[in-house]
Amino acid sequence: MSLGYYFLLPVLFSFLTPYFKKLGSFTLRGSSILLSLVLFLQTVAYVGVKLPQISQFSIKPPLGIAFILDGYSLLFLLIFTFSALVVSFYMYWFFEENSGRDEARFYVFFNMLIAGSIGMILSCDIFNLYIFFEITGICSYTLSAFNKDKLGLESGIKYLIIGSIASIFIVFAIMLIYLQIGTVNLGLIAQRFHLIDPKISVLIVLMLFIGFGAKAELFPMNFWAPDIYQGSISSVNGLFSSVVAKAYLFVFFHLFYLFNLGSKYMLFVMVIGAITFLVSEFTALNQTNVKRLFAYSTLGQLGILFMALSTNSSQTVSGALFHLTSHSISKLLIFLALGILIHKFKSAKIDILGNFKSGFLTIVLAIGFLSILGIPPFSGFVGKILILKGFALSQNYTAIAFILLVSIVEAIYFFRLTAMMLDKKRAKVTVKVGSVNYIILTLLAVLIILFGVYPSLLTHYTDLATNALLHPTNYLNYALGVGL
Amino acid sequence: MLDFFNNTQTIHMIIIIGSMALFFIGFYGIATQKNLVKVLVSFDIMESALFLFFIGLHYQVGLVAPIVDKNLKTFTSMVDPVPQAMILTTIVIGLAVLALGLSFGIEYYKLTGRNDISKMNELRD
Amino acid sequence: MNLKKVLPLKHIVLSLLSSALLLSVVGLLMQVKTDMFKNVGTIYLNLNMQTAAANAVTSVVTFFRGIDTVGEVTVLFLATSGVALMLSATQRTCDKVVKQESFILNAGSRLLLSVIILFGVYIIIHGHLSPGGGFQGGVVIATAFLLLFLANPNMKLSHGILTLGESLSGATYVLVVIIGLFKMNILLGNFLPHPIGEIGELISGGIIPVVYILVGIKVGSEMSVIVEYFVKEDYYKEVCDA
Repeated sequence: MSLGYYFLLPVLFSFLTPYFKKLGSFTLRGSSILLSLVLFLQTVAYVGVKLPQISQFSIKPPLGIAFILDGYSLLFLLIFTFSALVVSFYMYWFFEENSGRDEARFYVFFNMLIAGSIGMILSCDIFNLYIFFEITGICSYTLSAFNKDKLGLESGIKYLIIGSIASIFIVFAIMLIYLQIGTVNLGLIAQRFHLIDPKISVLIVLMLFIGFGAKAELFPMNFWAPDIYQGSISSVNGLFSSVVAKAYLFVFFHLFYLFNLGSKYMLFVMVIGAITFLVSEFTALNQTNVKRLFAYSTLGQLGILFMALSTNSSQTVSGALFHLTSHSISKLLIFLALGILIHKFKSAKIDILGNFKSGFLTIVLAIGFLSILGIPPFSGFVGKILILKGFALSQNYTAIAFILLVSIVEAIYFFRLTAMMLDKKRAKVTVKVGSVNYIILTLLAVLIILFGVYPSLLTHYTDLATNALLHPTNYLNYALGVGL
Repeated sequence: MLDFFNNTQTIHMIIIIGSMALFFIGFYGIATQKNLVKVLVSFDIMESALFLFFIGLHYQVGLVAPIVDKNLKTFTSMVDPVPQAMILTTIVIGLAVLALGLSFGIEYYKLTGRNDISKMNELRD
Repeated sequence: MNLKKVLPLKHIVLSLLSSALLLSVVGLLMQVKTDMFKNVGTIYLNLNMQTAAANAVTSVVTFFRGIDTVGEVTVLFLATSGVALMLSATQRTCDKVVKQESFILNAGSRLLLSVIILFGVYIIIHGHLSPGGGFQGGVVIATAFLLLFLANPNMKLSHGILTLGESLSGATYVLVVIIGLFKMNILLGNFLPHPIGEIGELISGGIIPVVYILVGIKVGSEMSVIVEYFVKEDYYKEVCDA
């Protein structure tokens, strides 16, 4: 199957959605699940195939646009399609409980959100990437305003304003690149980037940094993120945390290593990542809304990832990619489980974590919390240890001390939450978990434990991804159309 | 006098100054205006400035639009078509985002009676 | 008149800051266009004879960078869905009818409707020969409906037909992209015959006019829907809430 289908099939589905809607809501939900399943199985079929794979449009690159799948994008593709599959099962339950919502339009935006994120990681043309950036953007604005209440619309408007600023800077950067080197193909830009006039080059890097950094929730530009998490429904929060933020992070580091900015800007990105981590974890301490709390926790984890991914050393980057995968699974688990609680209590105050009675939910939530915190035998532990080991090998002891110290702050609120759940004195309300949710939450929890106990299941793919990220020779050859 | 303007360098200089002035008018609007509609219009001004900048810099004296007709049989001495195609795409995207933003604004105004972005602060702890 | 009230300090500071940034950016950009490398556009111009489309911008938009256009159409579709999601709920509940404004205005707008739509269709189907194309023509068609709404507030569009046109043209566009894979072994291949000798004729260029006609139908119906939602918003506020 050609890589183009990752974009074309969701588009076809979205265009035909009004007719699926007429066939009844079961057909609509079923076809969305089927679409996610097909894309996930297709991705699984790429595991073990010789990479990179290419799918061309109209004319051979570097003249035309192509989708390229290398080891780095394969890891992200697996995360994205898996998250999409899980969330589309979860939405079946959500719409059974909340009838009267505009289901058809939700599925349009949901599927195009995934398709846009996948397009961003596959495209080898920076202008084409910008279009996928906008598709993802428009879907996220609308999904965060999906509730159509005051809070939802406010978060939608804020996201739209931030997104417009980011896209103006990215368009400006693309224009400067085209004016300087006369092409928008990533391979050719990577080849010629060092020939750009140094002053203009700094301007381009700054603009791309503002554009993608604002969307990837980096420090000076991430004040909006918790607001948006608070205003949207919790399954959408799960997608924002495990798919959309990761897609922007992918693009950020893909361009970072393709344009070979490591030597000049490494320290800068590392410091920004460290500040993001520090500020977010301290702000998370006194939050009283669970969605905001986990939004700040997501920002903190992204800070660690920015610190570790910018190091240009293969051990640290591989550890960071492991941590990223583990974080995606854990945050998806936490947000989906919280969605059940928020639906039951009609509130997102932090007290709901102490007021429910359900052995299953307590266990899966505890697994998610402890995994993000980095307690063995869960996957978050392995991720953090691999990152620390990588820093130790490159003798960066400041970073190790910093991560460990800030993790203590993280531990305070995660242990507080876990203790609150286990507190027997509080008034408890029994929460029932439907059979579909039972299965998907168990699946996610099992994956967390599995990767924690047998890290080698995942390290193989993170090593492949690291190799493709740090040494993109094959990718460049394909993007330049050599040997096609 | 007209010869002075019939010079690629001069035209490019005028376009850079004009479009960047427009760009920073939009920037000023975003920084100072509080009405949501005005903010969205400021974004549009910034985008228009970029379109002008990009299209203008690819014009050179003596080049014509990239279309062949009865008098012009080959694709030579024509302006670069790629910037025009890219700008066409960006215009449509800008329009789409503007329409979406306005519809959010209308719905928000119906619920609260406000369109002041500095007063949108209900999302907090 | 109090100067401080008209022009607060913040505005003065920000305008000075903008001007300073303006000067520095202009200085930086003075030499931004270089001829270090051959632009990809020049290569497209040399290759353009093979596509048999007289308008090189059209062949770049629909063929060389065709997948951009699929994405662009999707962006517009998503924005339309978003606008409909936001504004449709309040608009379906009111069925009041206002008195007709004026017979002449109504008849005149209907008379103009056909002319404007014809002009839009002309722009769409000559997209590969002259400036214009699917997006521009689609927007011209939407202005015809805007005129109709302004002249007659009771006017309603048939959403069934618009949705049909939009869905079918969009789906056909995606199928055209996929058929290229089977016929030419490359997505979005130009699989229809496009002899170079026919350049400048109405039927030339293979899939290029087909794509622009599909885009034109889709953009026309989507823009009409957006225009309807925004115009009706005012109308419902005045008529139904009173």
